[in-house]
Order: sequence, then structure tokens, then C-alpha cells
Amino acid sequence: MAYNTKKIKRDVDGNPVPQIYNPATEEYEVLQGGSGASRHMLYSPDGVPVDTTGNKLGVRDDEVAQALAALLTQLDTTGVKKIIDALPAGNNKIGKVDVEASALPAGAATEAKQMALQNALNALIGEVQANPTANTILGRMKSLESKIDTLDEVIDSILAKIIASPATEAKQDTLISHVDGVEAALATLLTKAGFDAKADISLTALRDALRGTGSKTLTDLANALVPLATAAKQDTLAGLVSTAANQTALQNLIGSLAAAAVTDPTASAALIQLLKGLLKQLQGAGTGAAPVQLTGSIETVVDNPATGIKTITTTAAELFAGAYAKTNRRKLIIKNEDQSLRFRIGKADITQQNGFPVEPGAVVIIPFDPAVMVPIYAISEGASLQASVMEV
Amino acid sequence: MTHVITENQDGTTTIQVSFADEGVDLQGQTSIKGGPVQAQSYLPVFESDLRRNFADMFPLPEVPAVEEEII
Repeated sequence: MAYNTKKIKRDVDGNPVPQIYNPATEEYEVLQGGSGASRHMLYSPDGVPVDTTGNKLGVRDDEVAQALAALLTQLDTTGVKKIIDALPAGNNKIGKVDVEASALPAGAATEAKQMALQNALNALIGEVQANPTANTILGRMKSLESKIDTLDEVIDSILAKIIASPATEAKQDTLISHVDGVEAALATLLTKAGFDAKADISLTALRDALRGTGSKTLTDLANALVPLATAAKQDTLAGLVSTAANQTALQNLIGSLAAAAVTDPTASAALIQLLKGLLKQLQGAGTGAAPVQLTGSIETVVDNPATGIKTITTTAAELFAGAYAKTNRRKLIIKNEDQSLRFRIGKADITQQNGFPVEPGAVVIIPFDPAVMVPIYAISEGASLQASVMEV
Repeated sequence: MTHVITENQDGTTTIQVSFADEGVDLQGQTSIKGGPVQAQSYLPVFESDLRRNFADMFPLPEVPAVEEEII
């Protein structure tokens, strides 16, 4: 039936909806779609609908077909081989590969070589049995095991002895000292034959002492004595020291203990006589008083005296002749020149009552130790007066 | 004359004088009982004694010349 004989599809309001006419069913059908578009069917240029297989388009682009053909060519045996050959040396994980045939590199471990190596190793290692072939590894290990067993027995024996009587440090020291002594004695004995080793040790020590640090020899000693002990010097020494004549002359010079004293210095006498004479002179007349004459007394004038006139007032002032007290003065001589007044002298704290009075016209002499400076003060009892002063 | 008075700790006072300012090479020293006041009062006495005792060191005073009248 023609499409115009069928009613079109309408919605609930009676308005026609998008629809198509299906000639197969001779009915209008609601237009289907998705994603905002209606469904369409593609047709080739010759008006044949494009078929689909498994929801995929049946058309193939020529270029895609050519590329796939070329890829197929590359994937054939020759192409894959080129790819594998181009891979660099080393680890290239290319998946599982079955090699049909390949030439071994030079020196490769062939089965024959491996067998030869196995035979050689077997010969070196030896047999695993109670008595392996001698000089094989197992044979030598067997021998070593036997020796270790022997050594173990020896060690056990030594340990048993050590445990029974341990070697203490003191015992070892004693042993060392004994060994040292034996070693030294043997060394001496080996160097010299036919004499007592103990005596030789003493002689060696004596020799070292004589040599000193410079290892001097008897020749050195002889050389040193040559200029010292000439015959002439020895003769001179013998003549000076202990001849009977020299001893007699010395005895005469000393004299006898009982000889009389000699007091005359011009007389010839023995030493004892002169000493007695000196002692007698020191004792004077035998009473112990020697004649003495003093020199350098402070009574002696050794310098120019200083003289002057001093005015003595009621102020106690130091008394001297010059501009100041004479240095190292030995004596101070004071004369009161006033006819009626007197003054007093003393130390710095004198007053008009307690000083030593110097009467009118009187002279006072005061000696001093030149080494000690003692100032003398003077004060008038009344009016000012004058005194003559001299210092020596 | 110049002088220096120094009081000591023992109750005395030292007087030092010099005549260098007068061109005289003379120095003197003495001590008196008391303090600076007593020393000051004794100073003229000490100076006078020095000038008398060392008169030879001091120049003689110039005497003005007197014209003699001719009678």
C-alpha cells in the first residue's frame, strides 16, 4: 500500500511527530535518533546501502588497504628478520623467540668441551671414598684431616699438662731471666775459648770501665802518657819530692819543738823559733799585754776646721760653725762670748731650764763619732748672745 | 736670699736658705725647735750669721764717692 494511504503518527495533542514511512511494514514509524540527531543510512555512489558487520562499516579506504598491505610485507619473515638484526647487542627483551638454527660463536662451550672439563675436574677432585687417589683435592683433604687429628691429640696433651700445672707470669719471667743468663754466657763462651765464662764477664766489665764512653784503648793511654812522663820530668819530680836531702832541709827549716824563741827579726832562726818569738812579742813581758800604738783616732784633725760666730736666741736652734753642720765632724768646740749671760745646749727639745748650761766665757768641747751625725741645739737663757763655734 | 721652711715630724723645723739670687754661691741649712712661726722669726738671725761668717763671699757695698773740697 502507498504511504498516502496510511495515517501519520501524532502526539497526545494530535500534532504530527517526526516520522518515516517503512515500506516493508507499510506503516509510518517514529523517527529514532540519539545525541540530538536522527538515525541515517549511508549509500554508496552506486545507490547500494553500505553494509555493516558487527556494527562496523563495511567500506574500506584504499589508502588504508595499501598501508595494511605494506605492513603485511614488513611483517613477513624477511621484514621481521631485518628488525631483529637491527637490535643492539645486550639485553633486548623481544618476547619469546624460537630459534631454528644459529651458528655458535668462537670458543663457545660445546658439549664436548664441557665433557672434557668435567673429566678434568673429576681427576682433580678425586673420588668420594675412604681412600681417595693421592694428590687429588679429596686425597689432600684426607691427609690434612689425619694431621689435624694428630695435632688435636697433641693439643689435648698440652692442655692437660697446662691445666695440671699452669704457666704463670712469674714462672715465665723466671724462665726468661734464666734464658737470658744462659744466652749471655753462651755468647761469651762462643767468642773466647778455654777460659771461665764467669771470669770473662768480669773482665769485660773492667774493660768497658777502662774504655769509658769514648772506647779508649791502652794505646790511647800510652799516647797520653808520653808527653806527661818524660825521663827528665820524672827525674825532676824525684829530686823535688822525696830525697833524704830535701827532707833534712825541710826539717831544719821547721826546727825543733824545744828550740828557744828568737825575737830579733834580723836573726837566722827556724820556723818554730820565730813563731815562739812572735808569740812572746805579742805577750809583751809575758803578762799578755802587747805594746800597741793607735792611729787614725778621732782626736786627730784630718780636715780643715770650720769656724764661725753663732747668735743664740731664745729659739732653740742647731749649733754649728759654718752654713750647716760639718759633715763627718769629730769635735764641736763652743765658747760663750757673752760676759754675763749663759746659754744651754742639748738635744732638740731643750728649754731655758733643762739644757746643759754654758757659763759666760766658758768653753765646751763635744767629741763625735764621725760616722754618726748628732745635732746639738742651743738656747739663750735671756737675751740674744753670741758664741764662737769650731768644728773639726 | 731665698728660703724654704719645712716642718718635721719630730717637733723641729728645717730652714734652708740660698743666696744664689744675689750671685753668691752659698747655701745654708739649720733646724730649730718649734714650728714654721718660730722658724720664720729665727730666719733673720740665721741669715745675719751667714752674712757675717761668710762676708768674704759677699760683694762689698759701694760707697758713694765724696768730692773733697779744696780749701
